[in-house]
Amino acid sequence: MKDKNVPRAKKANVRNRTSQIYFHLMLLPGMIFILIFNYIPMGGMVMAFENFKPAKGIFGSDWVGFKQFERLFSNSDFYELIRNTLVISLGKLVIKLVVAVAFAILLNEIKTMWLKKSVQTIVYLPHFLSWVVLAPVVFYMFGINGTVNSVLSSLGVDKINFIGSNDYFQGLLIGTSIWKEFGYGSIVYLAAITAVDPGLHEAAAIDGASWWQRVWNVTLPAMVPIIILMLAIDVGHVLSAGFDQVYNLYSVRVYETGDILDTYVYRVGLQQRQYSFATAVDMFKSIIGLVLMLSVNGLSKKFLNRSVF
Amino acid sequence: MSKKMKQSLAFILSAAMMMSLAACGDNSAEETSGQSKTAEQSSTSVQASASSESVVPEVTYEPLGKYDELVTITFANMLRDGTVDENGDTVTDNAILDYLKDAMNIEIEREIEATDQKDYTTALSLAITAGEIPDVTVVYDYDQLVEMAEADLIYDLTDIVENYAGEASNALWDGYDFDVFAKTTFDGKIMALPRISNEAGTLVWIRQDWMDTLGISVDEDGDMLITREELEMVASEFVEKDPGNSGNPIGIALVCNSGNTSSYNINPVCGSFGAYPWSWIQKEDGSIVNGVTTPEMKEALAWWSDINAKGLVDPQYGITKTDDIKAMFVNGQTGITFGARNLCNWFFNETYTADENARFVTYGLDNGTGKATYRAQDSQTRYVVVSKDCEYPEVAMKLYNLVTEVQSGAFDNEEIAQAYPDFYEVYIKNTGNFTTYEPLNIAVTFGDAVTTRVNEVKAWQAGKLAKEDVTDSTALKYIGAIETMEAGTATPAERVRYDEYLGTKTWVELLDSGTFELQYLLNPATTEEIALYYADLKTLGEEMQIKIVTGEESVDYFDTFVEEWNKRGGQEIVDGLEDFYN
Repeated sequence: MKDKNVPRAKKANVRNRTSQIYFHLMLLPGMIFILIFNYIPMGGMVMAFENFKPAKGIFGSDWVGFKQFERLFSNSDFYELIRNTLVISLGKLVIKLVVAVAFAILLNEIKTMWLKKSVQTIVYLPHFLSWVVLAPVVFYMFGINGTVNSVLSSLGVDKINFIGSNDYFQGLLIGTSIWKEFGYGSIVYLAAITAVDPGLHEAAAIDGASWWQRVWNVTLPAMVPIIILMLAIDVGHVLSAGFDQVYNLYSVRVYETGDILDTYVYRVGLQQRQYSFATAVDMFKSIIGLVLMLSVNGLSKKFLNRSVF
Repeated sequence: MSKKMKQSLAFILSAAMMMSLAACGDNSAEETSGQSKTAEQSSTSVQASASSESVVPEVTYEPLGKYDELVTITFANMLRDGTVDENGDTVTDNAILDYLKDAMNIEIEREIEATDQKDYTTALSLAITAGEIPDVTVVYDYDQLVEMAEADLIYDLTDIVENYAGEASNALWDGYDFDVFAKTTFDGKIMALPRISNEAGTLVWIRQDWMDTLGISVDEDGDMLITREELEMVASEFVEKDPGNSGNPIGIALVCNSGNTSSYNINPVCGSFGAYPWSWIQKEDGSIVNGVTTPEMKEALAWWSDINAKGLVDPQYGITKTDDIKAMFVNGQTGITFGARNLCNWFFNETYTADENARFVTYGLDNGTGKATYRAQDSQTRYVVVSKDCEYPEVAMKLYNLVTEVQSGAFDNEEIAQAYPDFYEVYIKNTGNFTTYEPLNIAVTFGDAVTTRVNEVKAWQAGKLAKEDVTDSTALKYIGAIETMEAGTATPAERVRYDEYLGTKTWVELLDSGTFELQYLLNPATTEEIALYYADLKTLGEEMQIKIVTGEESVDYFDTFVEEWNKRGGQEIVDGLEDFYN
């Protein structure tokens, strides 16, 4: 086979170039789609600088400059919102990363194929359930008369109001979110592990490395690029702490720790039809997200010599 | 002829008329009447062009007239869940819609569907933004109506009201001593048909059978009022003895909200202290205040905080939603709540089914002076509007006429019973079914309908009125329920009906004896300041209510709240409103 291919290489190259045009053309519909649905609507961001009235339209509404942003930053709840958003979001990001990576490494150790596959499938499943469906489940589990509290009270421990307490609510959000997402999140890490050259493991084992040492010195370094990639992507969404989850689980009682930028915008912006304000907040979120993503990428390029783009 | 062609033909016709009118227009004083005439004529010509190819407009105004051919209108209103028991009719498929099709040649095609008012308002908002609203839309949010009028999206109904309003509709409007179109008139033009009802006044609902089992009684003097002390006593008995055997009794379950409604929340008790949270009140000196910031509110919160400390308030206050409270009643966990005179009708029916002994009793809440205070609610809460592009703008008035005619009893006759038996059986014999399932869902009340109803039942009970002579169809149903209750054969639905009658009777008697004291409130449209600050203030207020009621903060936290309130824009809203009203 090899012999046959070598003399053809040059010819194949030329043919490749022409045939690649078709492959590039196949990208076109996707690009047009992105252009129409992702780039053109960005023009709507101009609403953030207007006092948008549906009746007057984007071009007819009054221009108010940075007033909507001033309103956001001068809000006395603003720092509370940012704090909640960051705590919940970073909590999810970091813990999910650790859990997903650890899970991938552990799962990889299972040698029984059917067990490995079924565990994998079972932990993926919650990802596909919507929070609208899961929220009642969480209420039944963690509500004041829920399963967890029945267990606690049968052990003689006082009942804990997980859903209505500012001490526990953020933990509940992070915990349930990780339970839902870690399995799905581990797919990429699992793929990264399988890509590690088994020869390296063998060599390490021959040199007398323990399982821990092999994980630390062989598996993890091989996973760094993919971890950085996932981190860079996730960090761009750090100001979105998961609207659908929080919205379905929170209540007035936990506004103090559970109200995030997105729920606030929904309540104050969209439900009160303050579109300009909602746009301003979203624009603020996007800019912060972009800056963070570029910084992570830049840092990784500088210190780890690896970058997403 | 395609819809597009019809539309363009209509446009050309109306444009031609506009021009001819403009040509012979004389002076500016008559300009307005000239314009409205144009609108009227173009609407009739639209009809003409739709019904036949000939363009000779024939003007006949029939309040319930049948169109020559099937007219399909796009439509938006909130959807109700559930079915009518008898034959499984639903909101989107029922004998009312069949009647509309057969008798009036109107077919309704729903464009916006939502069961939740917030969702509905949001969906409609998007339609307004896009500038494309359905032919006929029911608006629940006054600001949205203002927005639509300002955006010039809706049809000027002035002439249609003039020409197409039926007898019953006119009777409804004349029955009120104020201008029913005041809120829906913009620049002298009627832009929407209002739903009108005067059914305000909150009552305390208590499980009668539980009180009987526990041998407790309230309202010794029989003035149909109970004091807050009595309320507390009942709640504490219910919690202590758990008459529902639920194992987890809850004294008073509450939802936490920042609306000016008085169902299932702390507001009715606040009212008994003279506090009207989330309502704007104008004092005698002209100054304006929001009820949630008044000293009376602090007293009310202190009361709630106190009974919470005694373990009589739902420990999940702030998390509990309306449906949760409904479930608590079905599970026998709680036996007290606050609501309208016919609350049992939609809130407790499952409780009656779940527990065959379940019975409720209603009282007014004594404000300390032997009276029950309640807020005079805005009598107009829904608005029917027609799109400017609608080809048959009078269709909304026809639907409205149908509602008023049916509710006035005009349809309760042999003719209808013969021609439309399904429609008659389910919806005319029980107009409650009709108002629930008719598309506009605007259950109106004729000025004195409820009083008449109760008086008829009383007269029947006293033997002064024969059953055949009872005119009000709901009164007949009350009588039916009373008969089965006395015979001991009442179904759950009849027990609901019976208690609804008792609740209504209490309400009417409190009203007639002057025991209900009305607190008049301002119903301002959203000012710029309200748009800017009120949503934040509501969050602040809800958190304050939770903190004080649950005891997380002492009652004195209220003063901090008021300070915060003023600082965060509350003062600016008040200043704006005072400028507007004074």
